[in-house]
Amino acid sequence: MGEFTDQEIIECLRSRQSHVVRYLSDRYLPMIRLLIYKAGGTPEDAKDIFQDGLIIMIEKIDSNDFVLTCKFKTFLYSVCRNLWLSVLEKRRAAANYLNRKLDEEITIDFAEEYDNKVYQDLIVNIYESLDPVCQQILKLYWEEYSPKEIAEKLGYTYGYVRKKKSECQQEFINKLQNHPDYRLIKKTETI
Amino acid sequence: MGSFIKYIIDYTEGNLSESERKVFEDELLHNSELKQEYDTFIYVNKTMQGNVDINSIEPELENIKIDEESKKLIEKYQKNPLKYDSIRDFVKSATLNSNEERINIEVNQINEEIREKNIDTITKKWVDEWNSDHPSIEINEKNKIRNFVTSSLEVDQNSNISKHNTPAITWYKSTVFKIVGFSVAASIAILFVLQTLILPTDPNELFETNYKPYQAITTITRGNETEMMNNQALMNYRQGNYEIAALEFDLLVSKDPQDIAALFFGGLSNIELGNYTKAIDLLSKVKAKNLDYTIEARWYIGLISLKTGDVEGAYQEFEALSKNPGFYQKTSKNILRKLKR
Repeated sequence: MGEFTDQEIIECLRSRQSHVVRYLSDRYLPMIRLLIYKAGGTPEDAKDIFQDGLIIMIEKIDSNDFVLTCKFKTFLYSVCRNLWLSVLEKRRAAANYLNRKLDEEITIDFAEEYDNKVYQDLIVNIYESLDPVCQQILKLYWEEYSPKEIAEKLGYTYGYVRKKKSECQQEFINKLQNHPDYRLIKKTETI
Repeated sequence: MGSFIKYIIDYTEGNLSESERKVFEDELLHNSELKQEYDTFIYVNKTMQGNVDINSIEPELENIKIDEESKKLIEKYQKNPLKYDSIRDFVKSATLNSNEERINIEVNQINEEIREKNIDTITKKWVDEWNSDHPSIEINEKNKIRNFVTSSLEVDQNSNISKHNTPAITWYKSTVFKIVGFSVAASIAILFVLQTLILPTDPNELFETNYKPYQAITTITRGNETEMMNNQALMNYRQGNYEIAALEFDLLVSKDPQDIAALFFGGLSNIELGNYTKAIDLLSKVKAKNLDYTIEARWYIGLISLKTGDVEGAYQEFEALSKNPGFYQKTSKNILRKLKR
């Protein structure tokens, strides 16, 4: 399960190995995006918060007395969440200030932020509409269990899990692509 | 919609062979529908993985100590961000991994140099000279240079040299152009052109240059008996067991004479076995149905015609393909030029 253990991640970051940064970005940026989009952030916000969060953690990891007391991804998420909250506070303060100072109304296009959130919600809703077996298998797949491990956990055959997973993924994508909200979002080309 | 999903799943799970993977990646560059579906698939999986990650860490997040610790770190960072500069540089350069980002940076650097050295003015003059009716370069000379470049690129593509040239080849090419002046390079082009102008390219040579076995893609799923037989035959085809594949496709066709895939791949298997008459017979049936694989069938019929010396037959197929926007259009036009038609 997974490519790097938490200890390996810490050692690679200490020795400044770039490939682990790319791994962390690929693996954990999606959860940071979910966090950011929920509060109306943009993909750039997500990228910036993720990078800043990682920078903050590396500075801490460099210290020899650093000890990880939870999962690496938990700590990363906590740092990014608090960082994002501080950014939102500053933006609210800035927006209030601008609203007081300027005569004309500032119109900001929130289409992209709105679409990101709608898209995320849509994906989750479609997942929840799949049959329970699909939900179980796909959840374990996203938790990085192999088909063999999934089969053992759920009491199915390996062949069945592979076939069912493929069918569930097809159903997922088909439902998504046929949803009117998906077509609207794709039409606006904000995502 | 959703027609590529099985293919995409096989690719992402590493179920394709090396050559199949290359075909998929090449198709990803040219097929916008496939690209969109692929991007959607990846995005959905990443999003749901993120969702699962958040659900799994939520119990730990309730630990107040973690929250307090992370707030302290952020406060420290915000008080003195300069202290983190070297770490910031490391993270930013490490995350600059995508080719697109690297290319964008390189393009920005190039644009900056163009502005500084006013290169646009110079190159605009060159382009105007090239395009004008009374150029300083004669029209014949232009055509010779054009043919030289085009045929060089075709040789490069057909000999399966990596598009990212090996260092040795890159060194060689750059050294040649440094040492040899423009006029000498044009003289070399003239030699190629003379050969092209005086003698049409041998049809057999055209076959050898352009023929590549068609990459069969199949998904590894179990279905009914016919589907399993089909997968088995395709697997034999992919593994180069053409005699067995040809027999298996014959069996499939005997069960269902309308099975276009079996007709098509049966035809291709027979090409590999040198059974050109049978190959043309099977591929012609595919062509006649005007459904799946029609364009591909025409392409291979055209190539077989070159091989067997039926230049007229070859011309008909490549003429039709040259009018059809798609994968084979450009190469068909080149072949027609070389057939001197």
